[in-house]
Amino acid sequence: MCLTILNSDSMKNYLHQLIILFVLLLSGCVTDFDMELKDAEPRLVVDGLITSNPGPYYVRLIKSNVAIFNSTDTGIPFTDNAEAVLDALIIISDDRGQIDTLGPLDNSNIRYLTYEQGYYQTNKIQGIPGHTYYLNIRIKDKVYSAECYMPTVPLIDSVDYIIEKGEIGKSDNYIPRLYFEEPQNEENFYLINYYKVGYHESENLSYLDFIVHYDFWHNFILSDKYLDPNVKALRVENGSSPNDQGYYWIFPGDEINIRLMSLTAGTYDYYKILLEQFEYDGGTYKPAPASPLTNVSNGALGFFRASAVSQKKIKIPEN
Amino acid sequence: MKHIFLLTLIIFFCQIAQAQKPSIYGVVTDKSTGELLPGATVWVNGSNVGTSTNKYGFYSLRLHQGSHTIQYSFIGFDPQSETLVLKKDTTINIELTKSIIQVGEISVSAKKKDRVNPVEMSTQTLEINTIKSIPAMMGEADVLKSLQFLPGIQTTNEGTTNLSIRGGSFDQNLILLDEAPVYNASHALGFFSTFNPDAIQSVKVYKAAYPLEYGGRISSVIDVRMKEGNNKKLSGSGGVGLISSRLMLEGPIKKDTASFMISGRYSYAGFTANSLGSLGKELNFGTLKNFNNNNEINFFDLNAKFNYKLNDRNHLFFSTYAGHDHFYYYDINNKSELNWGNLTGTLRWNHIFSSKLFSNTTMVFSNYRYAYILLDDAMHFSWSSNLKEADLKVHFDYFLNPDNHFRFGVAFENHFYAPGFIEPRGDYSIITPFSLDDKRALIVAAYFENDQLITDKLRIDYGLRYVTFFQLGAEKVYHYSENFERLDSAFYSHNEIVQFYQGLEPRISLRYLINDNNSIKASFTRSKQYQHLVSNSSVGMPTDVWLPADSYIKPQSSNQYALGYFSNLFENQIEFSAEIYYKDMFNLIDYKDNADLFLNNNIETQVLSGKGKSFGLELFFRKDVGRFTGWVSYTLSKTSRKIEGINNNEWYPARYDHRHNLSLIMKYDFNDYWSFSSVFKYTSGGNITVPEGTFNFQGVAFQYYTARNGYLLPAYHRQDIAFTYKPHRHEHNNWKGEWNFGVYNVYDRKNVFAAFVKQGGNLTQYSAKKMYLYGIIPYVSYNIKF
Repeated sequence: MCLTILNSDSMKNYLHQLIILFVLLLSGCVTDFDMELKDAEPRLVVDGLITSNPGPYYVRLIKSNVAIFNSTDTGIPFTDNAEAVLDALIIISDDRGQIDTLGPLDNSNIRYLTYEQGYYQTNKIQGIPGHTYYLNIRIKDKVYSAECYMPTVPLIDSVDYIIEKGEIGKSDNYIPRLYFEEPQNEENFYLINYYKVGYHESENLSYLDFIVHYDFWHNFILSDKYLDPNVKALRVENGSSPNDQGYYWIFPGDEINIRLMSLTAGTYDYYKILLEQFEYDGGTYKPAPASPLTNVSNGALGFFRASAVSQKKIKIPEN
Repeated sequence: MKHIFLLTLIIFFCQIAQAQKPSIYGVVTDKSTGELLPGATVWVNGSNVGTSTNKYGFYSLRLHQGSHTIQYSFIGFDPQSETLVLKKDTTINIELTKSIIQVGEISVSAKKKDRVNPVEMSTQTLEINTIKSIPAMMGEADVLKSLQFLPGIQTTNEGTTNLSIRGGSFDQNLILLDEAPVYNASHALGFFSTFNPDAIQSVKVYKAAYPLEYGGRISSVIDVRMKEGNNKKLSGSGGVGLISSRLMLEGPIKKDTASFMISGRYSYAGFTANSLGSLGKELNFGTLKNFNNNNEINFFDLNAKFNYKLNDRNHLFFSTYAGHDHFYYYDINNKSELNWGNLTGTLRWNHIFSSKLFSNTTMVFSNYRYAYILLDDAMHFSWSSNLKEADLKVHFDYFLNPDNHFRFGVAFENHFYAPGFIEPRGDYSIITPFSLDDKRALIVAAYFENDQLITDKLRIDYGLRYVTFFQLGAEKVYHYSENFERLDSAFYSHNEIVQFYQGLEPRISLRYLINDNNSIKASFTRSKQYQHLVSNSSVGMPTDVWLPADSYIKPQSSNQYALGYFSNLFENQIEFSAEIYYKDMFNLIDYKDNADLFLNNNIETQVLSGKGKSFGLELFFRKDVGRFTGWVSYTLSKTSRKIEGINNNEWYPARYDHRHNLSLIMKYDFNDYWSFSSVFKYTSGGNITVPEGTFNFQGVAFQYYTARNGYLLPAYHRQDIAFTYKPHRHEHNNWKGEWNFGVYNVYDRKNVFAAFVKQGGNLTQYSAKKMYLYGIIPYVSYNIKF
């Protein structure tokens, strides 16, 4: 809540002036703030994902940005100006004895876009639910490691959608909905998102796993703490944004692939903190912020995630 | 210290054995309203013998047989003398008349009524008239915000009512409304306090050495007293403002015997915001183009008090308060709405056993409830929660002789916590009903205290409070490994003791009188707190959870040492005090990084405990007489915490650690009609947590942090002014009107309310933002008295 008096240069209208003088307004008076931050060393950022879908899987290594008020946006999809770490040795292994040394991206159009963006890909390892995966990274004399269990995921029974009238001047919202049996007697965590079929070349590239539409991070996490055993018509939320005024990016004629992915409790917590960062107000009404708790060792940032995937497509008919 | 204690105890018992002397005793009241006057002074003319009325207006003075002239005085009232020949115990009830001071006339306040003479230190009292004369935001006089102009008292977040007293957190203040604890004293998320100025008589803050009848919080006691109700004639007051309107009525039920006071306040802040915002939008003001006018901010307060004087020895009081808030504000949080409210009740019985023994028996009830409604489609639910406290307290004042005023008593407190019940709402909600476990606690305390004159110069007040705390079942207690992984659990059945704590709280203060106008005082205060507010924000949300101490979260405690110099300057026209304090705090709690406090049944896994310390210097000048009145308050202070697991186990400043704090309050009466008042406040900036940098992850830049509260915000300062006009009143007209014209934040300083970094236009861009609450605000308000 914010109270301010209006200021105006206009001297034309007496009524106007009267209001300017005596009217009090409650509105969010948020302005730029000159905040000087201390210098710090950049840190390694790991963005790794292995799923139950067929490989290859990808790991991205970059450096963090300590001059935080610089944009790293390049204007080109799937790229940013983050400093890539290109000379790393990366090995993913599992508890069944599979070992895979990652190499540079193969020759695809994604490779063109992501050239020198710090991506590495697997050659042969296959993610299987119910197993634990290990990530080992060596950069010069520094070693980083992470492990993540891949929980099983229930099958999606069906998907449908509903249409909600959009605000005046905006198109209608098509909201996908999910039906599945939620296994009881165990703690489950889910990450749900959707993307347009044909829009993305690879379903495993974690960068693309989260489809960024304008200023939206499309994902939705869920704990089964309050869920019914029989989950019906679960609305797939459209994601998070610092502005939070978006709508569902689905139009007649689109085919949507909806994915239900398993998370460990630790992974769920990680994403929860990331999502909360969209809402930070500096500690006035929300908790003082803190770093999300990574599963990567040795002071690195980011996360190595293993998720089983259950997916179903739905086509929105043409009008 | 042990030796001093033993010695005084011996002296005390020797004096009991002395020969009997007669006493004069009674109550001191305000002649115009019949209300009891606590803290009035009673002195034997031409001697150093005297006392003051206790907080229920009762006094007792033991004297030699023979002729005495007794003087009764109270600030703002004409002193009165009684001459009598004392042979046996005698009741003298005194009615004092309010002084009518012509503007410009200087009335030298009654000798001895000052802050130099009593043992008491580290206290501040504000009468409601003073509070009302301070310029206030939109003309809304506010009890808790006024306290922030006093030394050692700061706000935890600018513009809000939560108080940090001598470096403590806001849940460490025991806020009492007619002796009933108020668990959330804020309206509209801390922008206003729950105390309607029309219903309040005075507020007194104890920053250290609080009387031993009080316990349960380690920072302070804030004692707010409601008006008792005029038992002479029907009268009232009221006001209309942009934020709220108020009406208060008081009068006799039976003249001189029974009276009532009833008061209401209703706020339509949301309506005002919406109307003005929409108007701004219509007129196309820049910042308001996207104004959302679906805001809902309403609150009300109802205060009522009845008192019935059965006879000279028995007096009954009943007071109650009910308040409720509804809050939904688009720009703060468009995804949830909040409802909360307090209900308190106090039934008191004052009984005079004899000329020397006075008792006050109190039954207190307090209920604080809150609800949070998440307005999300899939997760649409309401979370309702409440806590209750029901207490019985018996307090005795024993006026043994003029040199010893003995007090003792017992207290039983029943605490009941229902942290949460979740219900689905709306058509799309996927939520299943869910309930957090209830908790119960019982506190039994006993205390004694004696105020003793050792020599003419030296006076000591000492005492001990013994508290036992029982956390009662039914309760399921989990056991954890070092990493807080759940190992097993133990179940305690109904009324079974889950956890027991006990503690001694000694307090001692002494005063050394240098001469009539100068004294030195010192005190030691130990206090313990058996319930915690698990809050993770600086303003505090109604949804913050109060919890009793348990197997994991130990009672907080503090040891405070204070030293002060008190002086009356310029023939009692100016009072001056300087105090220094040092406070150690133990078992303070703070939440872990990324704590999950929301709907968590095992909060113990989310909080960490450690220690804290705070110290400071407080200077205070106050002038209460003449045309020109006001005060200057300056505080130099520091407060920090050290908790394993937070900030790399290093000391870190509290968010509200403000190094310098200066307030200048002044009022000038031009004539009987016009007066001018002004406030200037300067406070060093608070400390916030800012990121060390950002990292790109899956297309979005996120923040990472190292130090807690590592960034110092810019200083806060502002100037407010107000003119008050009291129109000439015709004699046959009972209405007294009063106009207030004011300007808040005269030089339009955009003080930081909150500062943060946020993703910008695209998700890999960041910028730092600040939110400020108020620019320059002119206001007009009208108040009446009849």
